[in-house]
Parts: sequence; C-alpha cells; structure tokens
Amino acid sequence: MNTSSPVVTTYLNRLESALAPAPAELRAEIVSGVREELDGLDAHAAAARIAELGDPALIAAEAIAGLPAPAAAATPSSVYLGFTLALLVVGGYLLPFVGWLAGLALIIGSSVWTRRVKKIAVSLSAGAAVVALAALLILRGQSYGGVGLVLFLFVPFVVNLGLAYFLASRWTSVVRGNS
Amino acid sequence: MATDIGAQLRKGVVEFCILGLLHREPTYGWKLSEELVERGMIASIGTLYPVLGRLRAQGLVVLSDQVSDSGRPRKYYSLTAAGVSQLREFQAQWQPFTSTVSDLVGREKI
Repeated sequence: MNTSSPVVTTYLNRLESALAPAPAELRAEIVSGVREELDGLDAHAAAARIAELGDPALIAAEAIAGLPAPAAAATPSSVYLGFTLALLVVGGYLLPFVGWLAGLALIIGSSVWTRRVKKIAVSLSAGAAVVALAALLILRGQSYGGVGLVLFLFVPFVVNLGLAYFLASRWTSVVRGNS
Repeated sequence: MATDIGAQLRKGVVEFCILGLLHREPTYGWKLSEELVERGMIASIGTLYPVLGRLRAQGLVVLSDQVSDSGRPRKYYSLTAAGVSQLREFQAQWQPFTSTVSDLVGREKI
C-alpha cells in the first residue's frame, strides 16, 4: 500500500469517490481488488493498468447498475444523518464522552460517507477532544484556569459543528447523485 | 432506445461464466475481470463485483487470502460445493436450451 505511486493513489481516490453511492462493502471490495493489482507496480506499469481499467466514473456506474434494484434505489435516511450529527455535536454534553463516541460510531457505520471522509471526521473530532482535554489539564489550578474550562467546552463544539456541516454536504451530494 | 440484445443475454449468463472460470481454478478479481472483459462478457471491472457479491451471498463462491505467482497478496475467489452443483445444473440445461431457442428463432439467416 505504501509503495503506491501518486498516480495509483489518485486513481484509487477517484474510484472511491465515484463509488460513494454504492454500498460500503461493494465499494471496499472493488477498491481493494484494484489496489491489490496496482500495488507495487512501477509508475509506467501502473499507468498501463489504469488505462486498461478505464474511467472510475464508468466503473462506478457499471457497479451501481449491477446492483439489485431495491438496494440501488434505497435512499439513505435523513433521520440517520440528523441523529448522527446531533450526537457528534452535542452528544458529549448530554451524555459525557459516551454520547460523542456514539456519534463517531454512527459516522463509521454509515454506508454513505467514503472511508476518506470518515477518516477526516473521526481524526479531527478526536483531535479536538485531545486538545480540549489537554487545555483543561494544563491550565488547571492556574489563576486563569477558567480559560481551560472554556476551551474544554468550546473547542470540541466548534470543531464538531464544522465537521457536521462538512458531513452534511458530503451526504447531500451522495444522496443527490443517487436519485 | 432499442434494447441491447447482447447486454440482455450477457446479464442472464455472466454469473455462470464466472462459476465456470472459477471451476477451472480459484482466481483473483482482476484476472477474472480481464478475462471476461476480453471476451466481451462484461464492460468493466465494475460489472464484476456486484455479481461476485451476489454469488458470495448465495454461498456459491468464497473468498480466501493467498499469495499469487508474482508473490503479491491477493484475494482469491473459489467455488463452494454449492457453486459446483449450480454450475453442473446450468451445464445440463444450457445445451438443450440453446438448441430449443435455435429451433424457435430459426437457424437460417433472415
């Protein structure tokens, strides 16, 4: 995986994005099937293989057309989206830690977002939590310790709110592309 | 738009062609796709995986991790016993079927 040339990485990313409307399992299977062929090839050989494979958009269209009709037509529920984002942003305040973790679990469990989008969301959200906790612990007992508490409460909120916007926009583009 | 007759026909038999290929030897996705594309049975690797997914869901095909001839780790697809008997069933019906259809549509060029 780490031996891939930039051409391969770009192609796999395009393929994964194009397959966003497909079920996660199918998407993973196609991407890993293509990846195992391209891994470890030099740039020249990889480019030849990629030319043979063709446009990711066409591959994705073929894959989605090959799904049984109900699965392809099913629109992901917007209730799931709303619930997930609500847990992400305020879950941690309602049910400390656990509420927020449940939000992350729902993000990971969704079949709508690509692995890349999930990775971004989870790592930024976890990063914000670490920063908030560090602020609280480092500034505790100082004369301006209140600042630590404020950072602890607001940094995750602001970051998660931004992520919620990002996730909602990715969701909308996928669901629109689906119908 | 006129119906693409070739596409309709392929749709009905491509999964049995995959079973047939896997009966010869367990194979990884890319190789299956290459062979089927070359012979005009599928349009791209994108067509292959939904079919493989269905075959796996039906328990006709299973996946295993193996190392290929070139030393790279691969996921190999192979037939289960149920897959073999499904292929046998298809084989038994295919010859009489094509011969009946040929009789009905006529063997002479129109």
